[in-house]
Amino acid sequence: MRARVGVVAAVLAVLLAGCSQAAAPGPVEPVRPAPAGATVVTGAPPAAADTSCGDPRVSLTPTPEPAPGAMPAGSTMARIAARGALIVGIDQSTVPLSYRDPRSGVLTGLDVRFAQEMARSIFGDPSRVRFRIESSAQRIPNLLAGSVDMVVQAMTVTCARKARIGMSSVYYDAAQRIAVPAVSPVTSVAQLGGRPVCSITGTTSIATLAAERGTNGQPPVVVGVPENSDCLVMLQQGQVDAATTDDTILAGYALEDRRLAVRGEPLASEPYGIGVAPQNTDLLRFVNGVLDRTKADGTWAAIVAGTFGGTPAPPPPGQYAG
Amino acid sequence: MTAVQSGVAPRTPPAAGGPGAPGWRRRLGELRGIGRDTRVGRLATAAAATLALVLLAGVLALVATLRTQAASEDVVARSGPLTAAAQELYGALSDADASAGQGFLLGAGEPPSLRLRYQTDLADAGRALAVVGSASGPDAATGPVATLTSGLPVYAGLVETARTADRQGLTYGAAYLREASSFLRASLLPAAEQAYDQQAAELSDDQAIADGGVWTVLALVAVVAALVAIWLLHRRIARSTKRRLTPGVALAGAAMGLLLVWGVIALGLCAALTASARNDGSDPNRELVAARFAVLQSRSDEVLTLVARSAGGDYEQDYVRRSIGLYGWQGLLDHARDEAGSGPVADDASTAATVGREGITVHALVRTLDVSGDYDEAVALALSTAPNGGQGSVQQVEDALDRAVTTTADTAAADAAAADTATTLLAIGVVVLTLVAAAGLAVGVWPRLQEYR
Repeated sequence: MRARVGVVAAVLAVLLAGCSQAAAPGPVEPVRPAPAGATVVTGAPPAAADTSCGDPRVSLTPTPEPAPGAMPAGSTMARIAARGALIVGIDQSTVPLSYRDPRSGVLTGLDVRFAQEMARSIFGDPSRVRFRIESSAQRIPNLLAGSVDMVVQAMTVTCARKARIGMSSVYYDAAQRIAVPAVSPVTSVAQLGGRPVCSITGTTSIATLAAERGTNGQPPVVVGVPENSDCLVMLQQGQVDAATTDDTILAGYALEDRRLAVRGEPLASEPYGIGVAPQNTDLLRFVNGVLDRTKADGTWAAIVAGTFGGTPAPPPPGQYAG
Repeated sequence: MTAVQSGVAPRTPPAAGGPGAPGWRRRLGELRGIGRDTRVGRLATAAAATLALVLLAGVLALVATLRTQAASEDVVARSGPLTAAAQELYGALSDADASAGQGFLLGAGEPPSLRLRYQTDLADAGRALAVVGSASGPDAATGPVATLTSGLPVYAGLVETARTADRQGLTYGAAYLREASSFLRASLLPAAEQAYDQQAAELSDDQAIADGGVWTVLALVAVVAALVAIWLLHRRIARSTKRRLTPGVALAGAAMGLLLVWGVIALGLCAALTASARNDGSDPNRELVAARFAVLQSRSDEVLTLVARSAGGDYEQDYVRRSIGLYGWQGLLDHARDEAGSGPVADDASTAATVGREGITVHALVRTLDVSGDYDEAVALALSTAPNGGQGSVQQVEDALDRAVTTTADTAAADAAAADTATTLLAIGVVVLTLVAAAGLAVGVWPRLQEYR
């Protein structure tokens, strides 16, 4: 009798278990998609400051700028002038450095303006420039292959790059900083120990971030994404507490979303230079001359103010040797 | 009668029923003795064996018929339509991906028809999801259906965020669209594929059963054995009683014969039609649908490269990979054409391959334009609906594949329906004919047994 009661109880238990399982299928997880290729990066080695070439900001001494349309015979500039257009390697998705205006579709931004200034100096016409759209990884190979005359693409001057290509004096002094929601109390990376922070995969910024420690002794949780705008999306979706990369790009975030703010002290300096093929030293000196002239005659200030708004800081002085 | 009486052999106790055996075992032993050693006994044994064979044949034929019928009915009413629904789900999602990207690229110039296409895709996906979900039972709460039901609104939300941002002139709209597309590809499409694979496997199983099998063979053997037994019985009666015809036994033979003919024709037709549904329908259909999906996704890759304003990168690599898989030697379209044999389906597959290969040159031109800074021209070419434009050439591939997909799906559905019809009355026929045969045996043999009294 006991055994039969047990069997009945067991059968009932199984039946009831079956019922309750069908009624409550466990807790529901919210669906939160992340941008394509977003990954948590661990153990990225910090980039050691490379000073093998001395100060990477030092470039070749500029030559006096020739009049537009009168390039020295036999020079690289004369070859470009004969071709009828300057070919510039650039990106088309980095607000506010080089991007297509969503309304007009025209390529615009800080880098585009400087490229157009180069064309103006060669041809007297800023529109005589043919852009070649390339990824960051293609910058140096395209220069070496000769498929572009110069690269104006948020390229930080480093000794490693100067060993392979020619780089101009600094045309914009960017710095790595953080962007957070405007309502966030965070003002520096030190407050982000153990918190998710977004950066761009394969950049020096992400390595710098990984080397940071919060005041609680923990490193931030580094989330790497492939494109600049992916960090903006992750910030807007609340998937990360902050994003860090060049302040030029972060300024673009804040321009497009007023609920975001760029904050904190610079984590690293990112001086931008224009890249040219290593053998074209005449072009490099020419570029340095044009940059010096724009810094002196107010063109530089107009371009920077037009890009970021407000009153720009004084331009970085050109440093030269050789 | 006395002569017959004398024919009864003296009772020899058989091994099973020895002197010490209990009463029922001894009786059984005696009966066995009678069955083996007397004429009447042998007739009774033969008749009983024949009856048993007839009944066995009937049961086996019934089982084979019911299994075939259930499977072919399942193909028509369940696994066939569910496979189509799962296919529709996957197709609608892929198409949504491509049309959302194109609409985004066109921006203000997006024609209402393209917007409508995206919206129809979402509605299609929702409906197909409901059909697949309602059939997947308790798995619906955890399996691919759950992923899809919870993910679809999130996807649609991301696409609308992208559109809204773009409308306001914010460049990060493109990032939202890429996120939406990546979510669709990484989460929703694999779930839809899983659902489709499950349904396609069920369809294959049903087709394998409807195609005949062990039970059908067993039934066939049993029916033939029963026929032979009936013929032997009839001959035995004819020899021992000098009757040329025993009507009951002959009726049993006729019934079994009819059952054999009917069964072979009906089950054979069902098997042949099911095989045709599979070979000319669902098998090439599966290849064609895979090709159709790959076309849509490579199109999305092309469009998203432009949306992302990237110079090549992951989308371009994916495009190249898919194009090789589609149009390359022994690619999806070659496979589909080979599966289809010859005829309009193979022609459509060839057309798709030819036009698609030409489309790759259009794509190369789009990339060249984009990389050399002529973004607007690249977009215009990629979206051009002219026969030699990006959208135009993809549309021709899609149209050819759609025709082939529809043809094979119709073939599969029509043949499956015919296969189902072929066995409609067979189950009742089996029961009636088996009973007729059994009754015929009883009526035919009983008087002969009585004659021995």
